[in-house]
Amino acid sequence: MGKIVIKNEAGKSYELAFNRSAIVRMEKAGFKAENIEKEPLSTVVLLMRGAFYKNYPQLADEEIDAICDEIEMDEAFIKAVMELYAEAVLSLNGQNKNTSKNFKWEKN
Amino acid sequence: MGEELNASPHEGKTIEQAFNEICPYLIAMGCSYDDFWYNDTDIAKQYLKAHEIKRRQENERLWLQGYYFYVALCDVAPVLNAFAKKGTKVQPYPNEPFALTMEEIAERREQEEQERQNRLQNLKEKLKEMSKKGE
Repeated sequence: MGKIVIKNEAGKSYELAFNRSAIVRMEKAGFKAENIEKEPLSTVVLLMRGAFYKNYPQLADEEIDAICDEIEMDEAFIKAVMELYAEAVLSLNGQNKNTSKNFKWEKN
Repeated sequence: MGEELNASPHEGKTIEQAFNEICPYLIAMGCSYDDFWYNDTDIAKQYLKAHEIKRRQENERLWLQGYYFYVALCDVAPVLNAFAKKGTKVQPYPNEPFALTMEEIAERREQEEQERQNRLQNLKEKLKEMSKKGE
């Protein structure tokens, strides 16, 4: 199972991952992966919230948003999180290739 | 079972609906509700693999049972023949289960060899006794 670790300068780190509960919660909040190009801003916000739900269920959406404000959201990072999401969604239907990566992300 | 798990979650269903449909199958395979919803999504794959192994084991067990039945039927077959000669007897049912693993096969061979050696030893002793009596 892939995961992404984000770390800030102070050494605080978060492990981003998805479980089925998080995926359903994201869907209920209106997340649609196909909207990433049409509505990138709101989609990325929901995607990032979902990436925190598994390991940090105690964090409120606003807190997650605040953490995400400190992350440099470049295309490679968003793509990696999106792949992590796709891997979790498709984990049972045999369509996912073994794309597990330990993407390390650090804010400079 | 299994085809349900291969269905794409996007085929006219919400992801939640697809997960809700898959969940009971995984639970039937031994996956807990919490593992399915809250643990790594990959954990379900292990249950699927375990289910496949269990299915194969069950199939082998049934095959073996059928084989025992077949052997037993063959053993009694001579007396089932209406034209069987008088005095036809059934073959006895095997004294022990078939050796299935290489270890069991080696064990049986060793046992047979030991029995053969014992018989040979007995025969030698009897011959010795007979020759003594003859003197």
